[in-house]
Amino acid sequence: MRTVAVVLAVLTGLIVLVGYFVPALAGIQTILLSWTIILAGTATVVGVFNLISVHGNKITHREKGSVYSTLLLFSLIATFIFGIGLGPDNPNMQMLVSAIIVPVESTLMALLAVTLLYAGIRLLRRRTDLMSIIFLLTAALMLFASATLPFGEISPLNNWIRPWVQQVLALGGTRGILIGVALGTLTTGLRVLFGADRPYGGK
Amino acid sequence: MADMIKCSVCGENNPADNEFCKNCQSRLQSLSGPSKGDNAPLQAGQVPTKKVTSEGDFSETLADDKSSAPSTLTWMTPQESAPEKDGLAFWLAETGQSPASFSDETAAPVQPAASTPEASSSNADKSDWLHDLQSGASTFDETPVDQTPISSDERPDWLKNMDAGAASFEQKPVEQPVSQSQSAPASDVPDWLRTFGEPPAPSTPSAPAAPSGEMPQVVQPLEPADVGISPAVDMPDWLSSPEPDESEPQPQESGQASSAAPAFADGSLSSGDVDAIFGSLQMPDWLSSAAAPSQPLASESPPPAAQSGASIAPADLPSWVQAMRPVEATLLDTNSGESVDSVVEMNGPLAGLQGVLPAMPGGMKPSYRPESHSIKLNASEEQLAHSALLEQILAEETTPVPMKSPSTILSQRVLRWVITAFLFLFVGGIFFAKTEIFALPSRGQLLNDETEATISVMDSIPEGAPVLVVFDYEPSLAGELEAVGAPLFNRLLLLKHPNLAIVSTSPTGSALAERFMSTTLKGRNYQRDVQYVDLGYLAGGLAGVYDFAQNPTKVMPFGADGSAVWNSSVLQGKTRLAEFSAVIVLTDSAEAGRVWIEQAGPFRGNASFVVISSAQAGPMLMPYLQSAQINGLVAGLNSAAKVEQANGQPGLARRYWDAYSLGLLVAVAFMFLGGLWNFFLGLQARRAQEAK
Repeated sequence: MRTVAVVLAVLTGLIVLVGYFVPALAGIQTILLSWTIILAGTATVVGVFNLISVHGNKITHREKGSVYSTLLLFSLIATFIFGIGLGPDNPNMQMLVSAIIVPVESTLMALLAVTLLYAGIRLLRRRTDLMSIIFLLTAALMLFASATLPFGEISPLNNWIRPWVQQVLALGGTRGILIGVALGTLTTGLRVLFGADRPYGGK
Repeated sequence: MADMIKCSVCGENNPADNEFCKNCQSRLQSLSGPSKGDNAPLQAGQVPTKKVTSEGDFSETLADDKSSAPSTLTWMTPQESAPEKDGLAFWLAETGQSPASFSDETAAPVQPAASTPEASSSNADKSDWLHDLQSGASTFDETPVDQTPISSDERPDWLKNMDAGAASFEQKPVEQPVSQSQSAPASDVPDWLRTFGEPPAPSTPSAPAAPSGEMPQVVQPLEPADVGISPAVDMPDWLSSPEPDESEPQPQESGQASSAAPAFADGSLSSGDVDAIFGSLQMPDWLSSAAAPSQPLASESPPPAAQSGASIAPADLPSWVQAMRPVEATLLDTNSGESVDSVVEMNGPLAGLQGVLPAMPGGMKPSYRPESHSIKLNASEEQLAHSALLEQILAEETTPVPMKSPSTILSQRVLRWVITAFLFLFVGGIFFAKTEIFALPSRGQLLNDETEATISVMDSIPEGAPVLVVFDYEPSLAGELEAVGAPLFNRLLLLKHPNLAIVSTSPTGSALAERFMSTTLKGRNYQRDVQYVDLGYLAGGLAGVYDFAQNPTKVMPFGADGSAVWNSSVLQGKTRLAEFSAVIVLTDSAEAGRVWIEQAGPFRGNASFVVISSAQAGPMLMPYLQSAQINGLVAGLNSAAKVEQANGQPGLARRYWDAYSLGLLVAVAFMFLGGLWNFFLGLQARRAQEAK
């Protein structure tokens, strides 16, 4: 069974890869990719059912936090019913998104601001070295350069230093990261095609 | 009561002639008759005494009981000898002599080992006639008293000579060796009788014993040769040599042993034959090595039973049986000087047998006993030091970590609350105050400004052209993305009135898109299915984007509400991605933007590609802008403020800018002051630690 899975995975990967260069295989490539979309959508549904199963077991066994599991399942079912019945453009559905989903997630993101600022303050106490000082000074400089003052912006800082840092230092580092990502993706793809890596199952 | 017998089991009185108790059915009378002394049965209350049943006692018991239990020894007696005995007794009775006296006189010279005590005791194992025929001088005293005496005058001369010889024989010591008894003057023993006890000689069958001229006529027909007891002719080997020397087994041919000799006879298979048989087999090493020491033992120290002349020596095991006892080799103690076979069993069913069970010499330890080893480690000083260090490390691991001081925890919590309070105070206060104190960043300072390039791309889109808009961000960053995208879409919708096709690779993308269109762009009054359509959620990630870019109508044929959006007025006639005038991607992550750029970029044709991203993803997408893979990039509130300035109409960027700028300044202030404070605190702590 494991061998069959490896053969299917390698064969599918090769067809999709060759389909980029051989137009004759573009049709098969499209079919395989359409199957991928269907399977991915099905996986999302399976994930939803897994979420229901996990929290349903918590409620059944009265584990710690089962109240929150109950609230989660209730919200999930209510959103599903409203979304199917009302549609995404319904004002009630929009209110559900604007009043609950967006504020809740935005609040969690806002906590990150406090946490990051606290970490910046405590950084030099934990680690006092040159790189820490450079990191902290760069972060403070970019924050200060992104803002303006009441009487106007600091021209050299906003128009020269910040763009230079962004488009020279940050861009150079970003390109290096992207090249690394591309090489990693290429290596991972080849390992999957050769059967060395089997993310679909097996070791 | 003299006729009554009391049962020794239940105590019931029974008539004397009863064999069994009438109460408990126990036997009242022993089968061998009443025994006395040591052989008497135990009475009630009598303590049993340990009785050593050695070989000599065993033979004596057999001699005492031979009359009462003759069947126990009948197997040892040749059956053809009984009539011979009767015939001998018949003619002796006619002569007026007892058979015992005659046989004693005649058999005395031929007793090879009769002078030894063992020989006399071993004679009890034999039948009566053989005992009378071959017993030694010890039986001379057993001549019946009531026998009719014969006057010396009536006796013949040869009988007188026999009496004289018997008298002289009677005066000899019991321990006299056989050679001395055989060295009696030949003139005292008749020739025929002298030949009776001699060992079988080859000339014996051909030279019958010459009867003496003095022997009476009546005796002559009754010579041993006539009655069939000729030792040289008719007597078997075992009878002709009644006292075989078992200590020196004589090798015989295997054919003769199997045909003539009885199975139970000693030496039927000599050790040499057995060794020859087993020598042809492949014996294991332990067995072959065990046989070596056992053979000299058997030859050098013959068992006492063999010396005593018993027909069956209980402990005289064949050599091959001895060789199959591996324990003998392991238990052989050469230092003790005592042979293993010399141990005689004293108790149990093997009492009297010798060398049956392996003895345990004094210096030999049991093989199953484990050897004792010292548990003290032989460790060096360095190893002990390392062991102590390891134990110390383990002890430190198990030692509970002391709780942090409450002052530290309190200071951390206070610092967090102070940060939160300042942010709420400055950012929230100035946001709800709706002030416009802080100046917007100026546009057009740099020639390669990405924001200006994006505005130019937006202005190049034809009026009423189809535009694909990808909503690919999470609700947590909806506030930033809506503020960044609003000025650009306001400018686009206001100036170009494009038809929008909305798609999302995030499950919440459709809801966020609807929220963006209905709230943020509420002023543009765009209607669903009139100016824009929602294709819904695009599954599959990277593969889905690629497949959608290849053939959007097949991958997503229906809208989010299930309608045929490709046949609607918004997207009528559009089947390919290249037929869209522009592709605008709103994303909060560099990864999602990279996927759309790399997978959908090759299929966009001449369509413009613009990315609207958050501030954190802008730097990661900048290389794609500079490499012309995308045509425009608007990243963060700073760029949105420039677009609003270009639009000439304040929007969310302007509304957020004061809170945004003040929040950044407060953060910088906290980082700078707090960093300095903690820098000195850390420096002081390290100095104190180094001082310790």
